[in-house]
Amino acid sequence: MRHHRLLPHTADTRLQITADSLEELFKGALEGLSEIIKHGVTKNSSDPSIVTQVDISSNDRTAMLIDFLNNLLTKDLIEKVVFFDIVELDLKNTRVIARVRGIAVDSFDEDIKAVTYHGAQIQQDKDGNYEVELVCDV
Amino acid sequence: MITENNLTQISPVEWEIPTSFRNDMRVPARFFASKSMLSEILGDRSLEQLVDVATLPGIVGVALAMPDIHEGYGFPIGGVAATQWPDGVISPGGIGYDINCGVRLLKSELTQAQLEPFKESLAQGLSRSIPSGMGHGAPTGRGGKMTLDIAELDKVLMQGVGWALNKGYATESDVSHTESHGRLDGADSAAVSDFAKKRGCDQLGTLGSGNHFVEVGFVEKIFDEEAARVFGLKQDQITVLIHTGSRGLGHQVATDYIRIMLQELPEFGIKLPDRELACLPFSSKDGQRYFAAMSAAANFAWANRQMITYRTREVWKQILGGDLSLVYDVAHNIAKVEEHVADGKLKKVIVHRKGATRAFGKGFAELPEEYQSIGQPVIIPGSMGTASYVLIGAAQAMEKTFGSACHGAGRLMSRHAAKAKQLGRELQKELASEGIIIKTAAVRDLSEEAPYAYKDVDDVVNVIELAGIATKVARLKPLIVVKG
Repeated sequence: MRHHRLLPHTADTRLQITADSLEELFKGALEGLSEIIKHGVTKNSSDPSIVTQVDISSNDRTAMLIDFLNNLLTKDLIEKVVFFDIVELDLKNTRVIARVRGIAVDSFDEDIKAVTYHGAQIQQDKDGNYEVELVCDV
Repeated sequence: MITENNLTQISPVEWEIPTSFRNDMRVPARFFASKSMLSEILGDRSLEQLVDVATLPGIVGVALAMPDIHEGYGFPIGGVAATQWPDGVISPGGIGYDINCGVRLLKSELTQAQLEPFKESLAQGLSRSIPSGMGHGAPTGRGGKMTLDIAELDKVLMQGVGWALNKGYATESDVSHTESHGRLDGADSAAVSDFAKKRGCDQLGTLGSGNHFVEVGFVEKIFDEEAARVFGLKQDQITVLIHTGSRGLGHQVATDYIRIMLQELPEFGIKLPDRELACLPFSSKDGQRYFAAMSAAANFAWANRQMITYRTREVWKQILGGDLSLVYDVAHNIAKVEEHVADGKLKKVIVHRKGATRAFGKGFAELPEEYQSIGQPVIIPGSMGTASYVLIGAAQAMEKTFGSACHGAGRLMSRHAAKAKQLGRELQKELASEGIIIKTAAVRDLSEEAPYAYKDVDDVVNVIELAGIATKVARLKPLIVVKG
């Protein structure tokens, strides 16, 4: 189970993601980011065929999530592809290895400069559910 | 949560949060605002962010914010912080992702009446020639794209506007009328990642999106006749403002180095209240590499605004004849090594300006000769539909703000809320009824930048003048806005 939604922020875009596992949190965060840069992409793209690999090491899992998203955002913008579908995900404490699928696009709907670290902290509640809020610079 | 009770009033437009507010503050946090602006400023997290800035290792004097302050990430937008050179920190978050986002003002010899018959064709011509929107590359004139290979891009990164001059896209006067003459000496293209170069190689001469624009306007009011004469501004004269930055290249430089710095924080024993303040001592290896990469991205941004100027001039000549000359170009997201008096002593410091404009007074040798007797033009774009200002740096800016002023009106409302309030098409119609032509590739997003989404630029500029930071020279009103 995973869910994302946009929250108010004066200048930028704040994305809230909730999930019942860390893996789902990563998937939900990537879907949320992808939906911002290309509306409807996760629902309307049935067979994403372009594949990329990610291998990122960071200081902790919050930084790892943000670095993971920024790595894919960079690839999106350079390759004109929206990578949104995680098909393999190996999460360790400070390293993430993933295989992600996406689709080619002609244009983007929103210009996200980066996913920032501002105030970000992955939280886990007593039921084991995860939540994080990410501010994206637009 | 910071409330009015936590503030000490220094003057009618200056407020301070003392170091006693939070025990990790190294210096006080000070901001400029009228009393009536306080509730808006206290309504988001911008002052909490300013307090966080006051904790940076090596910060000197006070952590500052201009009256256009609003919530950002890490630093507030409108923030200024100076750290001790060479061992104080440099923080990419204190510059922002859009390195050397800035604005330039061009002047024509035309009046409103002379432009009027050509307004629509000029709007269409500019809209066709200047690429805007998400990730659009740059045309080379008619349809093709300007994609630079890495060797050519490296020259842009090292030379800035000098690259455009060598290629015939700029004049000597453009160079002398640009802050830092459009080139930071410390740039090193080798410090810029391949990712960043790939993001930037087809973006030279492009506006981007969001609040970036090319705006044709006119001088609605002159406040200072002598300064206006020196800047070559006259009542009713047609002007052009260009607002953009370093595009994806600069965004990637910031992303790359914030990540690097976060990983190195423990090695330098730096603890921060917010990761987005990631920083390293300026003198450290990666502090120096970031400064070299940021300088390269700043050079790219100056070349970018110059290329848009070149295309604007081409359209201008084609439709109207005549030329446009540059009044001045200022950066508002940048870090520079400058000398200022802080804590009672003249010091070399690293000044971070994030949504703040350099505002040096008279006698500054870098300024064009004709401006040296009065001071630096400070260009403050408002929102489309309101007004923009030309100010002049005043002596007190050096004493109070490390030679800095505001950079715009400052956002008041989130993009989402602004969009929900009015349809883009309605706003376009409303502005058209006021004589303002809007050209945009995304009409549905237009209201994100609606005038009601911003503070009142008149109020913001009045605070700057009352604080003695800069004085008003002229007010400009828009006629055509090509929105990114």
